Amino acid sequence: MRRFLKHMVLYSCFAFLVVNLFAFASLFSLKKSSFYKPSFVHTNFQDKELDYVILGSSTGLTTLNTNLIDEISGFKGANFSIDDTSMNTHYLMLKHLLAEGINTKTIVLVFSPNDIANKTPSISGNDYRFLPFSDRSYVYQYYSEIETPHIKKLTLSKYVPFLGVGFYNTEIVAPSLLALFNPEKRNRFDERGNYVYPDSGKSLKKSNTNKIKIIAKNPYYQKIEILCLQNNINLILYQPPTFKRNIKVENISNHLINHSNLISKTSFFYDEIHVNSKGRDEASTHFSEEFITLVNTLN
Amino acid sequence: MLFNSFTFLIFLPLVFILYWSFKSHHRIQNIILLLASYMFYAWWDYRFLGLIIASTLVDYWVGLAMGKTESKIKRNYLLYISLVFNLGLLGFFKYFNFFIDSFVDLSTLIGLSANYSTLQIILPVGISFYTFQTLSYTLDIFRKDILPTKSLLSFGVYVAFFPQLVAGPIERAKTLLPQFLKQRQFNYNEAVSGVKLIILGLFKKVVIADNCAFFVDQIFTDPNAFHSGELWVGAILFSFQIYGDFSGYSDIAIGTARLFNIKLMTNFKYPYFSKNLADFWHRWHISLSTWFRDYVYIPLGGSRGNRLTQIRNVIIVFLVSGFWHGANWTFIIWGAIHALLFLPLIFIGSKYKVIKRNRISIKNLLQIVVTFTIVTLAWVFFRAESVTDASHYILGMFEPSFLNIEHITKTAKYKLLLLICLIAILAILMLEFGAFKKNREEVRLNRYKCFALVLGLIYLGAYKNPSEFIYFQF
Repeated sequence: MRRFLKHMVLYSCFAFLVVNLFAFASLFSLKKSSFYKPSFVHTNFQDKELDYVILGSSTGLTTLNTNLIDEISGFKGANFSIDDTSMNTHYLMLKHLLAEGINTKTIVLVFSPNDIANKTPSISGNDYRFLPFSDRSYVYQYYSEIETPHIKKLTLSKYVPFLGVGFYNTEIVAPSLLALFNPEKRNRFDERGNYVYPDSGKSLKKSNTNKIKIIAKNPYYQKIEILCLQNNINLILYQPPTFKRNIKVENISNHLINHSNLISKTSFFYDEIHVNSKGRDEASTHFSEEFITLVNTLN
Repeated sequence: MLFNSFTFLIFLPLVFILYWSFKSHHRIQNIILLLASYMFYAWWDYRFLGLIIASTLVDYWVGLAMGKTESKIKRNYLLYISLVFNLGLLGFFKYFNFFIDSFVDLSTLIGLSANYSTLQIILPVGISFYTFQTLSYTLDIFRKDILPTKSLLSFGVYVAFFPQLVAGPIERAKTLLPQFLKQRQFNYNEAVSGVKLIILGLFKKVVIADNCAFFVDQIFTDPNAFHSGELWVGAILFSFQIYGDFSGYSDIAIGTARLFNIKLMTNFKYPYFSKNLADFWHRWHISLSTWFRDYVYIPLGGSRGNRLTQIRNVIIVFLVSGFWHGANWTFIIWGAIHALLFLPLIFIGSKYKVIKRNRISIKNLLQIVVTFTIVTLAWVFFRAESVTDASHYILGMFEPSFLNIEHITKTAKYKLLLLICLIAILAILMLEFGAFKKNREEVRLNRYKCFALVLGLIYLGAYKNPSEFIYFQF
């Protein structure tokens, strides 16, 4: 019995060491790559002085094309939106950008109605992408704040990396192996962080436009607001185009560009809340015009 | 409590240490096992613990009463009590709504109007397993194969022993009960082999079954959206999902029991290397197939009698076996398919051929592939929601566009998961093939293979969307 327990402890310790080394190597490789945006910002994004930065989820990623906006406005911007995320992740990304020494005059916060109205935010699907930076205090603090108390896999990854890497294994291990051979590879975004959805081929059908009124209650919206104030950054909210919805947001103190009702053509949409390349061009063009006026007012 | 949960990771070492702290007091060990087993079950739903306790008390009493009398009439009555109680529980919780629905459907079909409402009944986990286990005890006493036990405590542990309580193996009193009646000594080799088996079982469940489930669930939910080649992939992946899920559970159960120096029967013996259906049923869910053999097939006459009687017996056993799996016509059809494809073996007599050496030749390989294909096609009925769905699925498998697998490889994630499924399945097949060739009871793992499995378990396992063990629903 004693021999068995001794061997079990010994082998468990060895296995614990090996799996953690493997996880550590995985995160290290990912950190040095451009695969996910947090690592891209750290490794390969050279512009430290920007006029504006776009933060958001998939709608932010695929609606505003910074290449087109820069061409029209003459500004210099980048899109640091990450799909499948919410306001809390945008806050973390802003902290990450500041920690990486990226200065911007304006943040364009692309939001979804449900997200900005959410009083109780929870961990987002792609928050693991910050795992290579879990040793940084703002990432650790964010994870410990947002993770449910069951098993804090991401939080504990600072000390036991295999917990997070094991749980998100397909999302971390494979890209980290890929990064060993091709560290420049980016996961579906260009050198300025943009991505576009293709034509879905589906036609959207809805006869009437829905009027939706929402109240901003998300505590991370307020946190972003405070962080912007502290760092002398202008905050502009952007509601991207939706199919036949007219969204009105209350309880916001920042400038808002509301494109919820901008596009009505079904051929400009990928689905009800995402535009395709035609819709992206249309939205980016309109955004640029309003953005120039707004920036001039702010200055 | 699930074997692949964090709770179990804490629970098992605690019970293990507590159990072996009383190595010279087997009654205290039994009390620990009984309480641990009830806790294990109550973690899922404490309300149904009463059913296990009731089943234990009824069969304990029936066993004792049967042992005290030689009167055939009394023994018959006592047997009926056990049968009515256990099958009544099973019938009510598992089949009540099925019978009501089928009766209403049949009435409508013959032009009568019947309007009965069904009940909202929750199926207690493991009910099919523990009722069959307690029934086998009473049946064995009735047949005078064993003597009744006087120890209620040991019998209670026999019924509720947590490693095999909710999904088997369905143990016989003849082999399991005596182990609880005697002193147990810690056995280093048994415990080590137990840990290895647990690792193997977890790998099968978390890496193979749960990753396969990602594709299987999508394909079976809307088969019309997939090409025929993808439907084949879905069916094959389900074959490995159910194998990884169920044999994985059995491996963990057997391995866990070994930690307490309790031996459980082998439940799976490389079923996908079977050369025909009879061979398959000697290798798949052995504890259930031998249960049906001993308590249904042989009492019906078995292979004695004329061909017609033999055919009848085979059909009955497979239909009952299908019905045991679930209250749905899909399971009955699944049983019927196996019965129909088994029947030719009676005529050519190959059913009785005992395969002593697992030599691999081109002919054998071909037989293995054909048997696997038949089993895979039958699994479609097992997995589908309805007989109509299954029929459409099978028809879809034989449409053109066989080489098109665009939907299951549409993103990098899909390709990666498909690759993981493939690698994990190949790894297990290779391990099993080695053991199969040497005619071993189970796969033997050295420390390197164990470490490889642990690494695979952590870095290839599906943790974000874990699924319950499939056999929990039976």
